[in-house]
Amino acid sequence: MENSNPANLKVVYMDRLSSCEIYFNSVQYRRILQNINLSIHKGEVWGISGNSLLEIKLLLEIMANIKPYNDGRCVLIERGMMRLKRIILPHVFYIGTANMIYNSMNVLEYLMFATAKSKTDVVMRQKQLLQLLIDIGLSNISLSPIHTLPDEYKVIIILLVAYLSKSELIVFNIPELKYTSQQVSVVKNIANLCIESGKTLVISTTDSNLIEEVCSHIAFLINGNVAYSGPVRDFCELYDDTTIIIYGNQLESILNFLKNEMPQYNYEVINNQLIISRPAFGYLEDIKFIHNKISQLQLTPNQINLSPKTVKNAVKGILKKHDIQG
Amino acid sequence: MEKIQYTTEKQIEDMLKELDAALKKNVKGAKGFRCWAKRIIGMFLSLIIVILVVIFGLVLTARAKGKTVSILGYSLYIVESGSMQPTFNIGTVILTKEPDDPNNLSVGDVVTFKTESGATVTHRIIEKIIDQDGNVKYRTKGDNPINSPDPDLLDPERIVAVFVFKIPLT
Repeated sequence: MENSNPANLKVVYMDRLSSCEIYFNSVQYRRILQNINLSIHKGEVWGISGNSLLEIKLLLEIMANIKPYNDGRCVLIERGMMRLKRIILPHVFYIGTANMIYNSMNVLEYLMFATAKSKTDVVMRQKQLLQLLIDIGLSNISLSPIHTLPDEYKVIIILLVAYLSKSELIVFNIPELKYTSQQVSVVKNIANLCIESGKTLVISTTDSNLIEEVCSHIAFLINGNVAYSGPVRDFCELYDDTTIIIYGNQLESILNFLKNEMPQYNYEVINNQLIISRPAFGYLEDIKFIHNKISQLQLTPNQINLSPKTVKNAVKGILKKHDIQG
Repeated sequence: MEKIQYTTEKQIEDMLKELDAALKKNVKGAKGFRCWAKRIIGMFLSLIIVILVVIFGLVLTARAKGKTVSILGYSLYIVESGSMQPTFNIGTVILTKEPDDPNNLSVGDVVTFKTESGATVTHRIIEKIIDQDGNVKYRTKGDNPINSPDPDLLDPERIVAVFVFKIPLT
């Protein structure tokens, strides 16, 4: 193995991996996942997203060794996985359903149950866990019966248990759930704790906000291939073309004028906002240029903004680039 | 779906107070006792292990020199044959004691004695024989069912020790 430095340890390494599962119509078939190359290092938080829930869920199932793979190589924490062996390895904590939790307990009781092997004094442990719940922003459900909670809260509690476990890799594979901003903030806090303790977290999701808030890296799957894998910031830089947003009432006139004057830009009107984009924008030069053009028209928009790069826009960009509807 | 039962600030405050109170109690009482109990048990177990190791060392050293380990009338022997199986397996270390009165032993006692050829043997008394003059002799036999009784009757003078107990795990 090339990595000897523990901080640079490859926790997941996939090399030209393809799935056993296939898409099939009467004419032809293709593997659901094909030629997947992915390298995830220790202490990173990855968001695995894409245009198909099936594909991203399957990738994480293979990563956790629940499902076999057909071809290529998959190495977990620098230990090879047998291609057809289907057991979850001891150093992997897999979260694939909200039903893993005991509904008869309250949240604190469940955490006590999950950490029962700890040698810390019981009362002290209970206090530490309650404090942890308060610190990460879950005080509002800390003593609530689990059966009254929605699935999103349940899986977050399981994620907290995964952090408290000795597992080095946490695979959080429930992409169908949608989280509130408060829940995203809690996931972010748990992810930070995981990073501090050297754990690696892999989350499958199509929630751009979750990726933006929580993840350091993203892998985006399109039609069974990895279209992008790397830092979230670079993903936004590469695929988010939206940089200038004009707010105002006469957007139609401004739009028609600018379209004639500057056809090299892309224009879109959404909710009283004129969004102007162009690949490889020149930021300030462009905004100055557009402002001058609008001034010639003697129309005064309410506001012209340079939009921050977002995962949501980057996802739109990458889908557009691959000619897929977002 | 049931309505979420959120935890209130009051519930958390009460819980924290309860935990603090339990922690104080723990520090004063139960925790201290548990800690001491653990230490004492640990020391006791360590002592037993040390004693066993010392016993083994002494027996092996004495055996190498052709002697017997003996303290305050108690002696240790290692069983070298299978004549007393299943009571003693080969390698078992047994603790024996000098008899108070070799003439007054009972049937069923296990004794260590010198044979007429000078070998040391540990067998069980199966019969006590008293002749017309009042002299006592014993008939002995190993516990192993394939053994027959020993051919020579045992004189009390040849009895070296009486079995007390076998050292566990040997």
